[in-house]
Amino acid sequence: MSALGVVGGVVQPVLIVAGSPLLVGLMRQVRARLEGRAGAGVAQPWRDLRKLMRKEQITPRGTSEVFRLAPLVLVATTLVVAVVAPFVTTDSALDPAADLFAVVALLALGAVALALAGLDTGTAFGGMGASREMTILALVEPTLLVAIFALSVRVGSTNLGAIVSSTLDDPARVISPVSLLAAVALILVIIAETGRLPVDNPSTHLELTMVHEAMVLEYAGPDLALVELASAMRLSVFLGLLANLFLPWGIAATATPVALLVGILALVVKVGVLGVLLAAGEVFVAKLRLFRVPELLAGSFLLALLAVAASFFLV
Amino acid sequence: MITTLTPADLPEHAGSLLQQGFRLALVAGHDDGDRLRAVYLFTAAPDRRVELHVPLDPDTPEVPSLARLSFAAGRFEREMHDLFGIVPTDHPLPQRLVRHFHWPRGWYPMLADAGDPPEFGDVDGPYPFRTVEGPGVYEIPVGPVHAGMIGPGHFRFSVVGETILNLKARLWFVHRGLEKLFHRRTPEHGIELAERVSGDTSVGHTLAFCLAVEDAHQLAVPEDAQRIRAILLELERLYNHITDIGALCNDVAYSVLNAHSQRVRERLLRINDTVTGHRLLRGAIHPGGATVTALPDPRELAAIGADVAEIVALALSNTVVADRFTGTAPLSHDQATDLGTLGVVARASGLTTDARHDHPFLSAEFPRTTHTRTDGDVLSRFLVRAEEFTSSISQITSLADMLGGRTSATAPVTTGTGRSGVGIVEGWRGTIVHRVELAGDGSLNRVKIVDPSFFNWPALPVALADTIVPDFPLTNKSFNLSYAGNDL
Amino acid sequence: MAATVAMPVAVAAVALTAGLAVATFVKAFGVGFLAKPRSEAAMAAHESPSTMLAGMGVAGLACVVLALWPAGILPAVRAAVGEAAVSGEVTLRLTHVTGALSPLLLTLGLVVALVVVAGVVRLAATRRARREARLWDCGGGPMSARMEYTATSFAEPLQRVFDDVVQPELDVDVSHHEESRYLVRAVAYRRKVPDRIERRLYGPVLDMIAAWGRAGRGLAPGSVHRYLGYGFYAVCGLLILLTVTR
Repeated sequence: MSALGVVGGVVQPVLIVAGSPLLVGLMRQVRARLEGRAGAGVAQPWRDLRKLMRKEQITPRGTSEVFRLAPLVLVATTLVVAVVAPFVTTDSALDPAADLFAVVALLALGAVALALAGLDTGTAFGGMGASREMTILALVEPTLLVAIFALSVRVGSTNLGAIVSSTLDDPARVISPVSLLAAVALILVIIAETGRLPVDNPSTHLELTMVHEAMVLEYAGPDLALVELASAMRLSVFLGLLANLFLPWGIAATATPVALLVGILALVVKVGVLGVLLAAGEVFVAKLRLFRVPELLAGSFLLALLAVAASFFLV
Repeated sequence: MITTLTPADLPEHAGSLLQQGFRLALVAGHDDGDRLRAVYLFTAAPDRRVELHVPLDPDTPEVPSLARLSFAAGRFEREMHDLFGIVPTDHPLPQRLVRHFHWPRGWYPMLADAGDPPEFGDVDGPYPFRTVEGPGVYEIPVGPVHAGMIGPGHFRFSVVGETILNLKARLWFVHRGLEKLFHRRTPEHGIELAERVSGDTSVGHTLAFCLAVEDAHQLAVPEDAQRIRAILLELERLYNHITDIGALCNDVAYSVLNAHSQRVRERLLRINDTVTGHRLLRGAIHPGGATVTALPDPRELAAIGADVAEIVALALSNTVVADRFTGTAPLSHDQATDLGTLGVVARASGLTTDARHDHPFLSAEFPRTTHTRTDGDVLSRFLVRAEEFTSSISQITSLADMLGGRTSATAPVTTGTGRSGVGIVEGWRGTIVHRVELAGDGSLNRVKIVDPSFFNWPALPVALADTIVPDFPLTNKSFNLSYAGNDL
Repeated sequence: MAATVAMPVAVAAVALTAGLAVATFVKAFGVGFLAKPRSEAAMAAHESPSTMLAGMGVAGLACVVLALWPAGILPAVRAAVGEAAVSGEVTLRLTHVTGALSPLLLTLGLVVALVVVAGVVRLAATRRARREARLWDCGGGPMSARMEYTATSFAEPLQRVFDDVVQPELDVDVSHHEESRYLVRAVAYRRKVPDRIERRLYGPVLDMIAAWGRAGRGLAPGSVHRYLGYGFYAVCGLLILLTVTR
């Protein structure tokens, strides 16, 4: 456990918790402006969270501990990923947990906890959301695993920090076929996993078409605040991983204050730019019919598979 | 043409009318004091109207059910049973329709001596929703409280996974007693009620009401007044159709087009405001005539038309939007005919029903709008609206031209010996029918209102067979039926 | 070379299986154990006696221990396969690639994070007591067990995705009133997912063996004379064969 890792383990979660609602606010604002609306402002998600935190806690009748614990598990898993994965520093506070498989499993665990909570409510909407989310997850997780695995093959390590460092050492890798294929696959997967268009519409009010929102329909007050915060954090984490796996420049490799400051700035800029691009792209796409989504995901899985194949053949 | 019959003769007469191509446009119960009377209005193109009056036995008010002859008749009979206690004998589905289970048995709100509503209780138990047999089938209850700004309606889906096996729409949550409120009012005072039958169809319902009153008085309305009315009717069509076009785009999450549709809608509402002094076009039509403060500017309308054409083109050029619309929830031509659907829904399924041509109140003839796609799917209903938008603008332009700047025309209202009259109007949703009966002093004795939604609601579950759950909101929006117009 | 070809395919297969396993777990646990009872029988269910629970408990405990400290069985694995692919005590390291995983540390980290989040929520959120509330029923009145998601339904979207592979048979029967086909009297639904491996592979093999057995039955009708005949012909044949080949 290096000093750099410890600093990263403190700075990263603080940055992600504080910044992810702002990222969501920024994306909503970009979309509003592009659609000719005024928008609620970048800080609106934080105001919403403050409002929700002040409301009383509600337990829907007939739900169990699974329902109450799910928001905590969701936030906790994302928090652990924020601590260990290389966002600001290449070293990790908990090196064995910065493994590719561990990070994917942690993120999946959060989604599973929420799906179980959806089923626990016993309502048609909760079950419907859980079923849709798991259908998408069952197709997304393989792609995620395969795509990052493709990147790890050349490095000879499944440690995310090691993958990022090796790209820093050899920048030409970014434009290799393996990287490009994996990047496209990952982008598609991130869109699906974070419930963005064209897979899910984060701003819909129609219960019957929702995926993520249907699952969390019964949450209110502080519980809902946690779920909202966790969704925003997951979005930041995914975008941060995408940025650092393919464009790691700026990330702090030494524990000097200047390097850390550059690392923080680089992450904010990279994630911000990716978020703005995602939001701008969403203006021009409509939501796919539910059973077209698997076709999209199958496509991304194929790309990831090609990336792995390429990483073995084109060494 | 009015024929008075005994209940026993009804099925034969009704059957022969239906055979001749008439449609059942309206069924109304009447409380004549000493006995009840059922009135059946049949209409056909070109403008033919036949009324069958059936006085009923005061002790056992019963009519033979026509549900076997016409699907709509079965629903009208259930409505009449719930409101007047007139029993349709041998009805295949004699459940309650308008009155929900908590309404007391034997209390019929439309009877003259009904009085104030008694205590509500749980008298008949919950509505018997049909359960679908089979393992793994579950039900999604949606409504009556919805997430959006929609009227109250309960939808019960029987579903496996995402496949809809059966859908039941339960409406009539907010019976307002509107038809009874007309009672004893003068026609002039009836206007304020007619304007509020359904907020988005102010002109349609007011015009149908005025035409019915004028029909009862045999009043000849100046052609200029009819032209002004026709302009108002088309203005109402414009702002509602663009709202639907935007909402359909929004339901497939293409919200940028919804934002632009809302912008166009706001522009149209402001035009409405300058034309009538009211954004929803109220206060311009009255029995005998119509008065506006200004006529719409044809150049501005042309600009709006170009704007909307661009919105529609952008929507359809997006492959995902086109994919979501195409083939979704098709209502076949046969189904649309059998259920007696009207308006946009019917025309999207290839029917030509349109009261502007079948029952014209205007002497000027306009060509029927030709529709490029009549497969009955969401795309067809989207395109029908877009195409009607274009032709409405050209109609308004030529009508404004004919008026030459005249903004008011009224016929002197005579307090003649009118008895009853019928008004038929093609509102933006479809054919609206009002039938009024006047008392000796010229006040309203009975007003029966039929909104096209009454005919179109049953088509929604039929169209949804083999559709997946997430496509329901889109389908529902493409029908966009009225709750208020249905639930009087 | 074989590894170059096999590795991507193997990774894909393992990853796909993992994804489906997660969905299956949520379905089995979520529908089986969560929410309100879905049937009369489930409503009347009661806990098994402690002796039965103990058996399950031991198995469950073993799973937990194994998950947190997999190094515990490494010696046994090494004894069986010679060289193990992983080594280490708390943190497991792969032998040939650089890769490390520590289930224990990971779990600890997760627990710490849970405690931190719960603590922060306690501090930040309102202090008012938790209140019970009705589930959202859209104003349509209390919900019945029929409105809970079913296992069949949970799997339906995934089944649709893999339609070509599993080939489900389904059938919806709608019966109408005689008067009109729009007055529906009843709807019945039936769905079967036949096991394709059983039908395509096991079925034919079993059929072949059965046919072979039936054919054999004709040779053995129970007549002693015939069995003696078989013996006689077999000996004769053998003798002729020996004479010819010698």
